[in-house]
Amino acid sequence: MRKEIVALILLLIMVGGAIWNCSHINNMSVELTFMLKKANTYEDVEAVINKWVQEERYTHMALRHSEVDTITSDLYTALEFLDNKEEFDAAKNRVIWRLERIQAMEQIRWGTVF
Amino acid sequence: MGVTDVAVILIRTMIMFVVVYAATRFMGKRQLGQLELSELIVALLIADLAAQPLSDIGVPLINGLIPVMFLLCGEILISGAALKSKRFHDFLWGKPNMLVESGKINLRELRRSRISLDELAEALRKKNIFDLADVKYAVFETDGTISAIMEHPRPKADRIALQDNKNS
Repeated sequence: MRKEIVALILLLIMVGGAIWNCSHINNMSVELTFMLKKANTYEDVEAVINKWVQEERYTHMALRHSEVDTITSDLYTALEFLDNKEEFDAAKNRVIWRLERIQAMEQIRWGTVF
Repeated sequence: MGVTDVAVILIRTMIMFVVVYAATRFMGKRQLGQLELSELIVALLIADLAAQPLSDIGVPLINGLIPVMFLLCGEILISGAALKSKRFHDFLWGKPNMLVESGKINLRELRRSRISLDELAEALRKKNIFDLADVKYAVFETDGTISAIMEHPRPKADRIALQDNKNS
């Protein structure tokens, strides 16, 4: 009986952890997307990068490393195009799309399950 | 592949080995030949899932650990429930099938178990049974083995004689 109780507790911890992970990734993506949409200056983009880098330890544990590295790379690319509004907006949209994709992948939907 | 990659793979392998070993011990595994269907499936899945973060360091280690732990917990709960409920046990792992009764082959059970006459004869020969008339019961167990009970168990002296004949 003891093994079953331990197994049940572990299972509940994993389910709770999964729900918390969904919520955390969702909140992080929403916050970064909001900051990025408002970003127009070097300091704004830098603030987004700092926020993203702060989460890097968690994101590297929870997400595929290639996804994390791609977003980091795209954020620095956006910095490069600050002087050109069109290119800057395109770079920002690319990052926003990737963030929304990560958010969607962590949700339980038909597309993610199947 | 750089030195850092190799070191990461080494560390991941050690972690995964410890986790899978601990999981298998915690499940209280029987020998491979005695695994029930769900246990075999869990064992196969764990082997595959545990290997994924080892072959690709871009995959987070947790992508292998979580499914392994989940399967472990699921298997323990399922086997615990099967112990408590005979109905659930039969639903999960089926019931043994009586293939031979008092020397007579039950063809219907044989067909249901998808075993041919040749396979049955082979299984009985492996138990040193060469005459069907000697078999009281032959049962197709839930772990896939065939067990047989003799009509008249051989006396010990005969068994020793058989052994002597084999050696000479």
